[in-house]
Amino acid sequence: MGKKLVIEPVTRVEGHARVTIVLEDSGKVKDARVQVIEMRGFEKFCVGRPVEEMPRIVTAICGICPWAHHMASSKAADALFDVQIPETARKIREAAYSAHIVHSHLLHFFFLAAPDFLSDPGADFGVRNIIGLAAKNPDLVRRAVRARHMAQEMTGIIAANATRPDAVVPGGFSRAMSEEQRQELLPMAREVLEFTRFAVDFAKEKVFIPLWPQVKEEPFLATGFLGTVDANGGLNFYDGRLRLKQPGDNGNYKEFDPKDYRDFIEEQAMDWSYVKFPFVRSAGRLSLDPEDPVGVYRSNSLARLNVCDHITTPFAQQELLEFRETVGRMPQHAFLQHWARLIEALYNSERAVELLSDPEITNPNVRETVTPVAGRGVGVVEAPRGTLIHDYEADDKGFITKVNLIVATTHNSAAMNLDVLMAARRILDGGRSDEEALNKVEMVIRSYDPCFSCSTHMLGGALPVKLQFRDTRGQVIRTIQN
Amino acid sequence: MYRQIRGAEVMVIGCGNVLFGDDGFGPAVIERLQTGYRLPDGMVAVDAGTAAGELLLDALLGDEAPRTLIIVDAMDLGLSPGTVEEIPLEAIPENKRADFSVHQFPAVDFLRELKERKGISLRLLGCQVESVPGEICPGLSVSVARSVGETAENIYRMVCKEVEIQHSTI
Repeated sequence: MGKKLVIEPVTRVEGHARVTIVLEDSGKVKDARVQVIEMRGFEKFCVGRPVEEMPRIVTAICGICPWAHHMASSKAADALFDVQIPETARKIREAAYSAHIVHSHLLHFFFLAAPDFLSDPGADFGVRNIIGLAAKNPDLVRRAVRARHMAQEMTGIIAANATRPDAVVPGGFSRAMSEEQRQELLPMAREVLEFTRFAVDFAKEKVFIPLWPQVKEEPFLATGFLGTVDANGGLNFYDGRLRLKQPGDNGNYKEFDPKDYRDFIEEQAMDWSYVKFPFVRSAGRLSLDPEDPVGVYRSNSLARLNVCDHITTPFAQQELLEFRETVGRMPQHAFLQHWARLIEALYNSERAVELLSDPEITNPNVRETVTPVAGRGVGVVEAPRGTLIHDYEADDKGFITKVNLIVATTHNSAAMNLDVLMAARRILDGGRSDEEALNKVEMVIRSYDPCFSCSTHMLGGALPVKLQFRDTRGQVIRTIQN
Repeated sequence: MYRQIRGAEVMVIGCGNVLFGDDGFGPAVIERLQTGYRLPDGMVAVDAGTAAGELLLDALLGDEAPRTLIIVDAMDLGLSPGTVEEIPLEAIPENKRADFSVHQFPAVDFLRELKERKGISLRLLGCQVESVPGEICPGLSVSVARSVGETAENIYRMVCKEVEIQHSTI
């Protein structure tokens, strides 16, 4: 009689997820599904609200990436109102956004992922976390905390509120940056840059280079990749064109205006998940067969580095070249998402310094007026976890009539499911279900830095990790919990 | 906001998602404190939304930490809706003991670390929810909304008394 193995919820990812692994009688892994509890009802909630209210509402979607939603929403409103924002507003937006990305990437690597690599994977759960890491490496963690906090504080100085921003408005930015603020921000940006340079070197020496020879021998999932590039093919988080590469394309790619995303990406619902499963439209269908995946793509740090031709900032470009020399031009291993993430943190640190070094960023012309108009507007940014799409339609009074969001983690739904299945087959075949084995499966999910949109967070929720064996009638025959 | 937090003696954090009914209790209390009171020097009230973990990580692992931390959150404690109680750390359900998520509510081990390792005086105020919808539906229930003002007043008095004692002993 087959068994079902459940990990619920996965720890140290943002929000909640449940992993169900179905075992055959022999103990062989038959199937694996990452089931996500997504925030529901958002699109319906937005209908009838003024477009200009959207950038303020969306920051409540997620406490982790409020800036990404804030930015994508404002860009969708800009497009809907058909307004060209002042160049200075674009610079301020991008400076704040760069600082946010640095904060998010450092948070993920040092607080969520690093304990996996710098502790023994089989170590007790009570010490295999940031607190345990801090006890072992107090100076490292103190520096990481300071840099992350400083990046977050930069967004606070630019926008007055770091965690619930409301300064980005349709038509530009709600307040100009003073010269005093610029002079205050610039040394902070430089200090953050100094830390991210250290962080990349540290992680290469302690994690990436030592582990890569072992990781590259493991089976990997081959998918397509989606990300944003600037007009010259350079990595960009704030604006540009979407580039979609598929495996076997021999370097070819499709590049398109973000507003045309529906021509290239199709969305499919699954009866076992609240999350939509986008796939490459030209593939014609989505197949979650790990032996022959069809239509599957990823959108995250690794995807962005794989689709871009180069990085426009010098230190990050140097790291990109070394990365490609070590792992190839279009690597697929999920583990490399961590390495890519730190290179992106470096890029965004450099970009913040660049933007803040430009005195023009204090130009007081930061906002154009907007007028309600019926139409559609699409706003796209690269969120820390991947491409974020806000697509709004409004009536002639400027009230929302339709909303469609594709959040970063959603792009990765199919790939994450397949990667977990492959990891489960590799690690859990034979019925292994000890702490180390379970954590290795979770590590695959964490490498995606998924954000399973927050719903509520009351106390008394489910166990951090709960493992259940069930027979085919649903009877629990064994429970393990950490 | 981050600028205000640095160096604060007393930090009040409201946790919760305002889009989900009574889960917005914590942010509502913070809004009342920010708009209805002149807070004493050294006190900050922060609407942390669903990102309280970040603030607490900084407090635990960084160089600067408040002397007192008051956390306000919605909870299901099996009480009458709107009832607000101070929850001893020991009374927080064991099933949250090892949750280090920076997205969800900070877990009990995390809070214990703050208390024991950093010596932070920690107080946790929980409000019994009446309704937390499965889909987005902002707005507190009548019973929970009634508790917002009283909770804000109690926190204000609590902090003023502490600040007064602290300053009188300097």
